[in-house]
Amino acid sequence: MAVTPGQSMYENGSLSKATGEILRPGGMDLTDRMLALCELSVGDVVLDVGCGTASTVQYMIEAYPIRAVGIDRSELLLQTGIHNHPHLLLACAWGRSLPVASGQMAAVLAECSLSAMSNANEVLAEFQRVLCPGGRLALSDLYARDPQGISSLRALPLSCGLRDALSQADLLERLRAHGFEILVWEDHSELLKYLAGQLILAHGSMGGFWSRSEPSADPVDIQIAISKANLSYYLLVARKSA
Amino acid sequence: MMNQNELRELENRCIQEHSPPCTAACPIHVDVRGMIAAIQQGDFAGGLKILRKSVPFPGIISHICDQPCQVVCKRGEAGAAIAIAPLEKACVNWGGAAGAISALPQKPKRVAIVGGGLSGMTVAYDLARKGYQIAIYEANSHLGGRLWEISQDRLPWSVILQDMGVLDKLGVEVFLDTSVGKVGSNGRCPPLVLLGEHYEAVYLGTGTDVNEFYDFPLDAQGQVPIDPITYMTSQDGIFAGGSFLHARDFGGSIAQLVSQFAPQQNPQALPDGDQQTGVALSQPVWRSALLSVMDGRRAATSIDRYLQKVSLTASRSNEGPYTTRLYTNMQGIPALPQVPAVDPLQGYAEGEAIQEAQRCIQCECMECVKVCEYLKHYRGYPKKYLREIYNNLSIVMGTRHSNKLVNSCSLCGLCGEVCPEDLDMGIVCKESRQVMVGQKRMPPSAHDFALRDMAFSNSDKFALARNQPGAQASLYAFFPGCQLSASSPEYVQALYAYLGLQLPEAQAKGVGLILRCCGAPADWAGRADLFQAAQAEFLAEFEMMGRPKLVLACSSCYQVFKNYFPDVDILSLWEVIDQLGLPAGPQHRAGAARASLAIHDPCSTRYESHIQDSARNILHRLGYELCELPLSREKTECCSYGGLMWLANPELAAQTVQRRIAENPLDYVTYCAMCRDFFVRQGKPTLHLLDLIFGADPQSLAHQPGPGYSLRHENRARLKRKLLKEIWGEDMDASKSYENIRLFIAPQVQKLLDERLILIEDIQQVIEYAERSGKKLLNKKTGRFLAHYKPVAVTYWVEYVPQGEAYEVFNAYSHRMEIGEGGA
Amino acid sequence: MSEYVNPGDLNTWECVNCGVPLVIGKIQIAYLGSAYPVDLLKCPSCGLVFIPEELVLGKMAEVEKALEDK
Repeated sequence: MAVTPGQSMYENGSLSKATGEILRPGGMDLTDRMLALCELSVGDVVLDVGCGTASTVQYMIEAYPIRAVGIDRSELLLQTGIHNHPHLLLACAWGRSLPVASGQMAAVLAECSLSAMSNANEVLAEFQRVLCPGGRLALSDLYARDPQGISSLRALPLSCGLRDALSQADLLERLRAHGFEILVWEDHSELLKYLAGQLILAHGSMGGFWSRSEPSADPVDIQIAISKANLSYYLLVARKSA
Repeated sequence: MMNQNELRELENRCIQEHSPPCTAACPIHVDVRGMIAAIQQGDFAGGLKILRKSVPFPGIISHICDQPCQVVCKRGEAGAAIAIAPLEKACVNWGGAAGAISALPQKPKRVAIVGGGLSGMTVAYDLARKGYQIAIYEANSHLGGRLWEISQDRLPWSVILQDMGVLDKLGVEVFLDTSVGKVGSNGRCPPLVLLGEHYEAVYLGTGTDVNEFYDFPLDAQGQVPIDPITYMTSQDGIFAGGSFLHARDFGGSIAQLVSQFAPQQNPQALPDGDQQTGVALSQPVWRSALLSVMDGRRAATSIDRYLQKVSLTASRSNEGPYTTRLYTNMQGIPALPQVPAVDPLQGYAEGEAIQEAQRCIQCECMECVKVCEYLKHYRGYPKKYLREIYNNLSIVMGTRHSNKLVNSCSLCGLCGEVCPEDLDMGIVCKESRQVMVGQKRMPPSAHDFALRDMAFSNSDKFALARNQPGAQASLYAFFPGCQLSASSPEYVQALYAYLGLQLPEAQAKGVGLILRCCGAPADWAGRADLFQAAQAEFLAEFEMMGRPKLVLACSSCYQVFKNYFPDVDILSLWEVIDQLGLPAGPQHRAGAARASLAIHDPCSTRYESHIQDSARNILHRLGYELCELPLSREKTECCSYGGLMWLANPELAAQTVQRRIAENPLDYVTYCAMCRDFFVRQGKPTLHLLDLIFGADPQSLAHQPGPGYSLRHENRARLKRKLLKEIWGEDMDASKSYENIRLFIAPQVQKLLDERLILIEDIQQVIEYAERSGKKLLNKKTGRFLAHYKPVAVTYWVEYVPQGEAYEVFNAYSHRMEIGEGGA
Repeated sequence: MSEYVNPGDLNTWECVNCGVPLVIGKIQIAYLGSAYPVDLLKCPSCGLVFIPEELVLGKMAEVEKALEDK
């Protein structure tokens, strides 16, 4: 497939070619699980950070009696979202500077997007700000099960969030430091395994996927680093401490 | 199952990471090997950098070092020891200007050093680099102690000054002409106790004068008590070291050190740079120059720990010289003399240094890697592999994972045999496979095909356990094994007849026949469940037959029975033939030409020298001259059948075979059906011992490829049917319906099927299903049918066309993914 | 149009039982607990599937290896 240089794997189609519109492991099943753990009430507002083409925002509004808004930093993806779902409330913004008033959100959802944001601390502070007291933060993302392998990941010239994957301990500490109380942590490595299969079916091999989505890095180096860090996928729900 | 401790113990047996003898013998553990490797490339700056990592004053030391490393240098066994100190000097001379000295950020702690001799200067250097603030109190008007007294031919003053400059760069404060209070001081000098008030720790490098400080209570010998490990005195925070210490009788390590370093005898006894300089050996006091540095280092380590309030005694056993556990094989290393320096006083010119450096063997062990393609393949050595297997990390080789590392070992035991510490990787690999199976992590495709083959052999298609016709029990039972039966069923029949005639008391007590697989594939695959099931089945037959003594044609079967069936008496067929004599009939004697063959011992005979002897005896009796391969008998290599390497890692298996068959230009002879077949497949003419006893035309037999997988099954089945009919007068049960389907397969298609591990019976089942159910596709362009069927775990696709009563097969492929069909 | 289907195969294969040409349809391929939906040629009447050799020996084999290896 032809790739436009300068576009991330989310934008250039190498990921969607494999997974369909939903650019993350787990699909809507995982979203449902996370929302259930958020204990939402009728009319609550949920913020989807890193909403991409807004398929999850649309899904949430259809499936649940709640309101949902989405932000993403990619104009390209948002344009598609606006085109497909013209009535949704979407905005182009960075995670570290949310265009949302304080204390308004019942829940913040960040599915496979925290790792893509380079300043996790600033972003977590923003999440804390926009949530109402007792509001829920629902995260799902890559993480490194073996912290000693993290340096290999950080050394890669990647543009996607894989490079900045945190360890469980690091993540939990940051959340606590930003005033979050951890309610649920689950490991979902089976989702990454499944995603590997999807990528192979779409691109012929993992190496083929990496060459198209991350042309600056050596596919073999990437796979070695992933193994060393024992990359996996987590689901986490936390509550804003009173 | 192995626990952590057992695994750590095994890991520790691998000595590859141990220091070479030179580094271990060096009191400050200079990386001599690394430095010399740099010099070999002409990189003197790199060599100097490595030197600086351990040596605080490389200029001084390289000029006056006693070189305890030379005494133990392995090159000494092949010519002469490497001229290590002269090479260090070459690095100092040709390595260019020293770069910036790195130091940690300043710490607020201060250390005082009394006595600016070599040990004191070393303490200053080490601690200043760690960020401590250092002050040296020196009674004389210069640092360096007795260094200045050495002949300038040996140690030019410029070198001393150059090296000492580093203390300046590190910001060490120096108080010259300043004694520190002791007996007879002039009252102006700060007493030792005052030092204790201004500094957090003190080092006394004052030599024997330490006994004259008022501050210390003395022991019965009138000496200040000093701990031999930490160098702390009886006063908290005050440490002492230096050459005087070595005159003391500490017993243990220091005494040993002293005897090593301060021989009082003939100077010529020492091989060292003095032969280079031609200068008379300096006074015995210089033998302790290196020890002074070692002392300083030890004391600095203690002071650093003391100031950080951590244990002073933990993990200190390898400070100071020791004997390394590293083993270096010296075989084949030619004796070469030391390269002389044109100007010994100046030292080596660059070219001379590089030449001398080339003589360095770069000691390492790697004994097992040298003899094993598998260990070589993953570019490491056992300690590394064991660590990674245990931690379940992936191996740094593309996308390989530790699964493949564990599954690729042939379990042959050669590494354990050549390892100086008897470490056998196969033991860990086999256990790991069992763990993987238990955790449901074993990739099905790794061993499935071989396990199905074993299941076939233990099915009623092949399995048979019979007493001699008319007998109620058997004294002996011939157990030919599944692979010989597959490769050469006609020999099995001939052997059974021979044993029936020749074994003592055979006529009276009977020789039975047992056709089965011994279970080795299940054992190798880590499938304890399948192995135990096969074991139970065998034991039931064994009891019913009256517990006969087994005559085993296959050495892998021999190992299985030996290790897992303690109550079963076993004999190797080869020993039996050796003792009872060759069968009657045409044997293929070597003839007048006395043909030569290279003999390959199957790896399962590794420690069964009696079997190896028997095979050789038989061959000699047949008139053959035998050539031993470089790795034979207890050092024999595996043909890749072992451990199922051939299935789990076909590429590595091919490399393994290639290596073995290239070891000798002669044709090979062996006494294992799989070894023979694997060698012939890769182009090496190989005879089986039985070819020479029963075969029709050994010359062509040596080139005859073994049967493909389907034919192996057919051979076994036919063997059982034939023997049952001819010897016991029984007919076998009717074959399954699909077995009657006749196929035409062109040779190149058959080759494809073998490569893809697709059997005739698999194809028959697909076609039978397709024809019965009508579930097949038609290719309108070619007119051929395509159908698929999943007998058990694998789905097979077959492209075929009916040809009268039979079917012609054009192609077949298979996969393990399951298809969810049904519904439009 | 599925990318696993070779355009050349479109008018080539016919289900013998039902006597009709194959059309593109959704099927699931699964191994060790993971199932993937793919579009392949199948019989519109009885659901019999065609999986080309190239796909089996290529991507399917790769997916099998990836799923086994973890």
